[in-house]
Amino acid sequence: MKLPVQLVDGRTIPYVLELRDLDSIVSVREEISEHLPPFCPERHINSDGTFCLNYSPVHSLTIEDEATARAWMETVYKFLKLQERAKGLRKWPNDKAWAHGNAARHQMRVQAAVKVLGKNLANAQSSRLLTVRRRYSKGRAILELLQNGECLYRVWEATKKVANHSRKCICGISGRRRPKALRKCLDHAAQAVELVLALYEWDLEEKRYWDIMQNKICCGTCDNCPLA
Amino acid sequence: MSKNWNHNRALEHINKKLKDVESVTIKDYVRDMSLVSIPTNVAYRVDGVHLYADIQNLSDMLNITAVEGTDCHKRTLRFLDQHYRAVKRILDRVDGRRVDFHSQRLHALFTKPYNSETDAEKKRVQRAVATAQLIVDVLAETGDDDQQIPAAKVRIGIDSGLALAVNNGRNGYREPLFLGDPANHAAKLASNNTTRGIYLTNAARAAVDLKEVDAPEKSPLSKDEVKVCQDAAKLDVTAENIVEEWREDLKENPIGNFQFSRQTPPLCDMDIMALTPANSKRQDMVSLYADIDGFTAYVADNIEDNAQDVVRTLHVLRAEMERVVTSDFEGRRVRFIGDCIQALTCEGTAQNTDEEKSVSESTRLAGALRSSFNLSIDRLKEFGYESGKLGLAIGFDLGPVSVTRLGRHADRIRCAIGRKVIESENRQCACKGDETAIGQAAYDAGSEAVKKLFGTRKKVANLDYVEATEALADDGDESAKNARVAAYAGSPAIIKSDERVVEPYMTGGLEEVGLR
Repeated sequence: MKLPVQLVDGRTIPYVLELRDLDSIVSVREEISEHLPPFCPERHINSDGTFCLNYSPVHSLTIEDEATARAWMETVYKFLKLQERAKGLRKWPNDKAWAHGNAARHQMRVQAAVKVLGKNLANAQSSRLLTVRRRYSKGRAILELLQNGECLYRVWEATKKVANHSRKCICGISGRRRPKALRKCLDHAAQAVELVLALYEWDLEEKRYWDIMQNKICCGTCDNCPLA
Repeated sequence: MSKNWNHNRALEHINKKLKDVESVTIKDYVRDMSLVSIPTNVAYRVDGVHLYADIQNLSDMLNITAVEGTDCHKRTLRFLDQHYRAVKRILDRVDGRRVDFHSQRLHALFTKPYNSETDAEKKRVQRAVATAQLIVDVLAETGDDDQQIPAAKVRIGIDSGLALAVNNGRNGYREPLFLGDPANHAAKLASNNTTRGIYLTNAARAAVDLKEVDAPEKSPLSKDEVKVCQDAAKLDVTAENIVEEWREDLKENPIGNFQFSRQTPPLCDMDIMALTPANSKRQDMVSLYADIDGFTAYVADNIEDNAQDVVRTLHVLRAEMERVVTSDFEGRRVRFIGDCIQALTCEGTAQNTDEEKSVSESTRLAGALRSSFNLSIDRLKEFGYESGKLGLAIGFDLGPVSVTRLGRHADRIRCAIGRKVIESENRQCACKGDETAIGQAAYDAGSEAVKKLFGTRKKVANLDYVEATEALADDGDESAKNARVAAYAGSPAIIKSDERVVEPYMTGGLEEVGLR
């Protein structure tokens, strides 16, 4: 399929794509790798050159009728425009992408947890500002949730409990002048634990993914790519 | 309507500019050659002494009031005007050449005596040092207590050597521009530190038989060293003469009262050459600096054997940057400062500045400048011209800016001042060659999309036009969305696809980790 992709600066990139249909799931790649690298995990291009357009447990791109075919086509077009931006930026241009491999499952858990824990945490997560640090306290492993280097709360790894239950809740949505204690605020203590564990496991899975990929050849189009 | 940058339009202009400099002539500058209106495809190798004088208390003047109102701007302009006049008078009397006065920074050149004379370089440096001391002495006297204008605090940097003089001008601005180490080293010495005094590079020190020092920026000339130069230079003018003449001149040609009006956007319609103190412009606007990173080293590497390509590169890059500012984004170029463009933009009406839109459009302008820069470098390489490893560092900020021309009638110098003018330059200076930075005020006034784009560092790498427009539009910035819709007018399917959220994944490792 010939697909000329027009950029906002007036340039047109003449893509020639190869499509393959397998039970209404259509995979797509460049017929000959000309405008895109043959493989790049950072740019969501599989080792066989196919585009990883979606994470199917969350968003299906199965083609069943005209509307779904249109959605598929629009996704491919936008994906190719994003590729041009990635080429210029030397990284994926936005934070609307799923984590690699099995890490996406944990990303899904993180998203579910921050949705419950309020807008501030959800925004911080979508901007990738939340990280988890593992350290030892009194001889026991403890996981700390950090935002811009500042610790928001801690979770004991073994017991899977927040270290200080009586601290005020991080949600900021109780509507009271004085926020509720974390342990009394709906199921937020459990969600806070889930968030930290999911972030930690997301991180571990990402590392595992890149360990497995370490023998693959880097295309050199992205800075900070673990394969580089 | 939002502004736009178009690849083919830029390409066409770059090709035209490349044609202007197909053949370039480099001449040695000798006695009685004119440095005014140098043809585009000609450059002179000029052996001379470059003097930079930095007035260090300009920021104090701008910050004299808590609010940046008209008072502090008027006082600052008056302060600069008085000092510009005094310095011009000095340079006229000592046979020096004023190259430019860019806000607080004076650049002057000494080419005499010419190299045909013995010890010419030594004599030039001595003359420059004596003049520097004269500037320090005179500017210490040219404050005005009645008008609450303090005396200027000055730091001076001097270097000597070979520089390349090219045409600095676009549209009636025919002063020469000097490229190369001496101009840059002198500028760096002048602006490097807070301590006042006269500082010489080691090259200039060697010319007047002074010992080389490890840190020239920390080694001001002593009174005795200055005295030796003064005695040798024998300037037939004293600080008292100049101050007296300057006072007379002020009586005969008083500094007009500064009166401000707004310029109805777009700013490309602002006729700077028609501005005077009584007809000055002032409003909230965006000040932007875009500086070619690595240019000094590039000139140093090529000035001896390949000066033609330096002229070509500079001509193409600056002409294209000017076109993007003026034509694509309808802004106003204030001046070129060497390899740097200083520009102003504003969105809104005759009465009000639309701050959010001004910041959005400036963000996309910064992207457009980078796109044009990258395209120009590509074209120069395709033509086989050496363009080194250059980058573009961009900084901008939003705030009240006054634009006028200062100095005596028929010798006026354009000037744009404001706290955010200084801040935008500082932001640019903090950037690497692939970075664009936004000032705090512009960040605060920007849309949520602008804030997200620049992040907490207020700095972003590799921001070109496509990225700026698409990233802002995807995050809901109205100006960028309008620009994107306009770019795809007549293609509703593309506009529809732009509304789609794409969240790609990466399955490549699944087979290997046994999850399938």
